[in-house]
Amino acid sequence: MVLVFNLLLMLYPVEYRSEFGDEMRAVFMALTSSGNRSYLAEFAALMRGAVSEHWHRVSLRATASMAGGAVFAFGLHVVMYWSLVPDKGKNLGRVLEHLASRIFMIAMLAGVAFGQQQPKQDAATLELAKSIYSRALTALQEARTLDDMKKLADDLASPDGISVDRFGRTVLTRKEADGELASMLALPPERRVTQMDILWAEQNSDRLIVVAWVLPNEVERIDTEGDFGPPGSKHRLTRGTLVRDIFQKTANGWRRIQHDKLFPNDTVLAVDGMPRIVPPLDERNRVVPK
Amino acid sequence: MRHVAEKNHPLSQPVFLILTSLAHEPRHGYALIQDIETLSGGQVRLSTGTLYGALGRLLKARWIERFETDDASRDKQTYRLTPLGRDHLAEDLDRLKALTRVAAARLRAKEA
Repeated sequence: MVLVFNLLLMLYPVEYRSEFGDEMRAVFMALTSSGNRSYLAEFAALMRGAVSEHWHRVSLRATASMAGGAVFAFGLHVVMYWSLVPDKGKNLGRVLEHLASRIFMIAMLAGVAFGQQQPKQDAATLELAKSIYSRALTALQEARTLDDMKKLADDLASPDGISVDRFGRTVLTRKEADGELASMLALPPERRVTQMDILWAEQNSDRLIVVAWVLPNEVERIDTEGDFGPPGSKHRLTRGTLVRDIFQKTANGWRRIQHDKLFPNDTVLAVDGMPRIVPPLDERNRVVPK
Repeated sequence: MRHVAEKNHPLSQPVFLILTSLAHEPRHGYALIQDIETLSGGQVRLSTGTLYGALGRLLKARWIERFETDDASRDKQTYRLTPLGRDHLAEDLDRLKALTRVAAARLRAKEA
């Protein structure tokens, strides 16, 4: 029965399955193992739910675009058929048979094309990552004593957690990081916390990785070197550093076991609001086969 | 956003029961189904598809949120009511109370 459930679950949109699939399967198994549920009712509700989820995801623009494409392809096909196939007017059944086979092929190709899903951020994992950091940042801002600081460090990081620089060297162990808590506490609360923009969060059974921009800040600079335009012009620079955090699932919740800083501090991410770190970048730095 | 978040729209029965269940304490999916069966006196048995369809809409509308617990694995997420969800539940409760008052008054008038 779980197999049937899994098959019916495949009817749902991929992002829905990614968000709720595991939970739904676990609940279904718990319900059916208790013995007071009708499989038929469960399966019927699944099918209704799948239709409903697809229906609410259909956008008018995409539908119009697909319908227009289908009409155009169909019209083109009819024209080609009538102009190229000999004796086509003699047998209407044969005409319809030909058309049906081609429509089937078009539908199959369209199905394959639309079935290709891009990697998509799992909403539940993103929420999990946001809740971990949000809790840590709030605790950091509200900490009043060294014990508060130690508690938040325990809640966030594993006892053997490490920080790694962009060359792959361990630059800070958890013990060393704990030694810096007092100096962090000495800062005014508003200066202890920063802002994070999460780029990607991904989870498997016991690991969670988060890639994020940290410390995005904006400054105005006179560009004396001409890095961003004519020398001497003024620019608004958005700066930050890219980090990757790896969390391990423990009996007490998620704990960070590794913090990788991938870029130098204050890497320029955008100039006057225009991104500098998304492809295509400067062709001089592009790598191609010789 | 679908009807769940539309202002002044009566809540559907599954949504009303889910919000009512979460008004008491955060729960995961299976606990929600069990609690709803209990609080409806065994009359409402939500199926998995119905439950998660409603949960998805309520999450999008921010009437509920995921609540991180120590055993929050991917197959056992816990949900809790947000202040926004609580307000909407209270609003619908007021609407139902007004309706029941009118219905009761009309019944009494008919019997008298």
